[in-house]
Amino acid sequence: MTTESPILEEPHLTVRPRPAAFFLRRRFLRSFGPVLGLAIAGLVTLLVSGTVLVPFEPTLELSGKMGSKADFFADAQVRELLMRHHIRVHVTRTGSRDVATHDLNKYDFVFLSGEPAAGLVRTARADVFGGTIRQPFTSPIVLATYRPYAEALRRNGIASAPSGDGEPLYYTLDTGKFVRAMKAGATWNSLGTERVNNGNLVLAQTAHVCDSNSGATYLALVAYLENGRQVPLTDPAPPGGPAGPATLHAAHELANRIKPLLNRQGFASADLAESYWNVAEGDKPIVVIYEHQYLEQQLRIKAATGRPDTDHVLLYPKDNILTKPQFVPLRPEAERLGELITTDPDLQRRAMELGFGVATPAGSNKSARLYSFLAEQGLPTPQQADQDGTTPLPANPVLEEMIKTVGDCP
Amino acid sequence: MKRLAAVLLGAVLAVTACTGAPGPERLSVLASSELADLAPVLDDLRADTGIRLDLDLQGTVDAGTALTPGRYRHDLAWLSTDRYFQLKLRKSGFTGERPAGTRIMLSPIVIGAKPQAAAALRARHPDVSWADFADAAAAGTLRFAMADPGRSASGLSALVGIATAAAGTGAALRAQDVACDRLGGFRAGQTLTANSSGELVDVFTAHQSEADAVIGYESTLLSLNASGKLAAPLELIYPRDGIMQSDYPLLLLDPAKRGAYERVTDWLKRPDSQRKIMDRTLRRPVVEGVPLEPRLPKSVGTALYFPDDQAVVDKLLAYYGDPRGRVPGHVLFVLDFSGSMRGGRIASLRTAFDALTGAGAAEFARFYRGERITLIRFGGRILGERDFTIHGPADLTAVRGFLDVEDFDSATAIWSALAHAYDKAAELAKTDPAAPVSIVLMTDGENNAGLGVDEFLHRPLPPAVHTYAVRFGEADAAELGRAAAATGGRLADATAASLLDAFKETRGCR
Repeated sequence: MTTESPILEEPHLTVRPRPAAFFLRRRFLRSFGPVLGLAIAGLVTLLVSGTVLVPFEPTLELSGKMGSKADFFADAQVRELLMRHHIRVHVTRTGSRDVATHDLNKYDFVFLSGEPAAGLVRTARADVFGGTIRQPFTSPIVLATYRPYAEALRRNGIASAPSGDGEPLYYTLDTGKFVRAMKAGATWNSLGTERVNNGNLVLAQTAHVCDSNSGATYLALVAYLENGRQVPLTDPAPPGGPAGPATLHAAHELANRIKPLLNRQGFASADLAESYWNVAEGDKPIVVIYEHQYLEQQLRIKAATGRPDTDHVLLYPKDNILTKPQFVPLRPEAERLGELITTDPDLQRRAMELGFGVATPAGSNKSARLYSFLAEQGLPTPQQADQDGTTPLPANPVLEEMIKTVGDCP
Repeated sequence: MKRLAAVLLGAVLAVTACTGAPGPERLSVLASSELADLAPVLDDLRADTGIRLDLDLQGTVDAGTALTPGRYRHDLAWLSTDRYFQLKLRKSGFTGERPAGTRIMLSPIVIGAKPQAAAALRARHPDVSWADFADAAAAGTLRFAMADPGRSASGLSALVGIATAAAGTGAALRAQDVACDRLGGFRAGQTLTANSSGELVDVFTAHQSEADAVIGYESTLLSLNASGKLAAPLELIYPRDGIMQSDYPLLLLDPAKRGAYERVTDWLKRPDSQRKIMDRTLRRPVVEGVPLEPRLPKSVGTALYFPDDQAVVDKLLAYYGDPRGRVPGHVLFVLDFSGSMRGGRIASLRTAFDALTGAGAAEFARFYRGERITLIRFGGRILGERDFTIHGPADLTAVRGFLDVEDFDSATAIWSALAHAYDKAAELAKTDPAAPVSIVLMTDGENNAGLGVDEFLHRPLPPAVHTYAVRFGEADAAELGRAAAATGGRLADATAASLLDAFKETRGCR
């Protein structure tokens, strides 16, 4: 929105040809022409390459590393909203725990899918930069599946859905019964899955526990159930003994007990959400992903076709675990980005359109705003809206011990 | 003024064009050999993005083993699967950054069968399984072509898939599943091999009369059908007990090339590029919104879990690595035909042999083509003995016929019969030292004639010939177990086990 400045003319009695604008006068062009040319060319290059939407203010280029929260920064609208604030983000995608266990010197910030990986980063970089860690939105892990598999679980009393709803999108998974079925060696055929011939053991496939927050969160969920619905703890200090560092024998032993259940899936793929939406249903019957990865697609499909995809359905674990993505700045320049995505109404709104819960009270895993937004868009609302029972994660050293035991992480 | 600005811009753009972009950007790519078929798509990529991919074509397994962190010689790698590479990284204890990867397209590994062979397989079960396929291969009624699992990812993935289906645990393959030779029968049917999936197609095309089926990528087999080089197109079979799928990840080896890499992957994942790939190569799109072409069925059935352990893959390769160099073993069956076997016991013995000879349900661990067996019936003396080499169904019928007699004896000379079998084993070792020999002894009685157990054990026993004993009814478990252990074998669980299980143990299965 730039306008040419008006040229004031003195009142003259005689009419003379209007002088050429100063920038077209020969002397000006001779001395400034090449410079001007370069400036225009530079501007054109910037405009063409999309670096600048609002020119004449330097763009802050930030490099971030993250797991599935890369979905947020990959979104064209988010990128555009950030450009309005002169910020451009370059994203390297890998699992959140993989982010946390590698050198981060090249990056300005990390955006981890959950607290444990953020804890690792904080510990590793305590002496580098202690910026403000932010939790701009929430998204719990869910077990994404397909109608025939969800219905088989329902018929076997392992999952439930509100009665009367013909084709529910959301089921509640009785996690205890689910783990019991896994332990009993149930296969999809033994559960009598209709229209499906699948002799594979019933299980949920996750990204690698050594790499990903979703894999580790699912591990924590199974460990909690195996531990008699108690959050695993460090070993109690020996009575009267010297106060040394806490030991983790109990966590190690617990992890070894659930290891066979979690390792049956064999090779753990990355990009589970992508293959969940794009590959035929026999490929991976249940995958552990984040709620936002499901809702984003359903919102998009609903907007495009007028109705949700009723083949893809979610299992909400009854004992779900709080999952809050953590924005961790590694350099001062990244602080502004963290603040923006947490407080800017447009970015928060867009996050919601991408399926994230926003403006959630601390300690809560549900998002009333997200779910009323779903209703506005004509999508059903998960039952989870009515309950806020979440299982706390174990302390970081306990979870790390279990991850390393189950995953044989290098 | 406008004209002037345009002239200025034109001049400056010409200058920047000269200095900034001298021809297309080039990326070197270590690629699976079958990706040669992408050339036209890569031309479009170059036209649209200015990035040229120079493919260095190699077999995926070879390429995967050539990928060593810190010693990459290419900017990118494009493999049919990076699972072997990822397993190798984990096994080596590598803790550095792994290359970023983006899946580009999919193709399942399936069976392409000639119409007659497909009809024969479907006659047994309309939904063909790997077990049905292996059973027909073992019986000698089905010959097939498969790429060398030691050299080609399609061969290795097929082998992992079949081994997983054969183990039948519903989980990923474990080391103990591989120890057991359930795949001997399957392998007996392999008549053609090659170093890569592409080469395999050429070999099959040139020798169509030598195989009834090809195991390979859906994309390769459909392209072969479309080539017009076959006498009759192959029917594609998606085995009901599960398949393996390749997902062709593009890996970034040189992080400095990230910008170009992202432009390439963005372009390749655009719906119109994905459609081009599908139209050209018959590989499936990885993004939604690209309708499948009619030859690609929507569902490919169940995907089998893939092992997460390099040791399992290594062991599988060590056992089945060289499809050209295998020696069928020789099993001697020493079978008690004393009077007490009459009735139910002999009936269960015959049922076990029905399964082993393919007269029952499809069974991975069964007699297979090329395998040699000897059946010895004994009572107080040797009642009958016959050698069989399995060539086809007629030999299997003859095996059943040999046991279909009511010729029972009153005495039981277990140890003399076993000693006789060991004499026979020594002879076999002389004529064919490379072929492993093992013995399965089945009895229901106390020894009451001929040698005693100690006399038997005092005889020199060849160390490589193990005896697997099966106890029916009253037989002395302690004595049988002691003798079997002395030979390096063992006594099969008397209650639960059948002769079938004991036979599986001769193949390392427990």
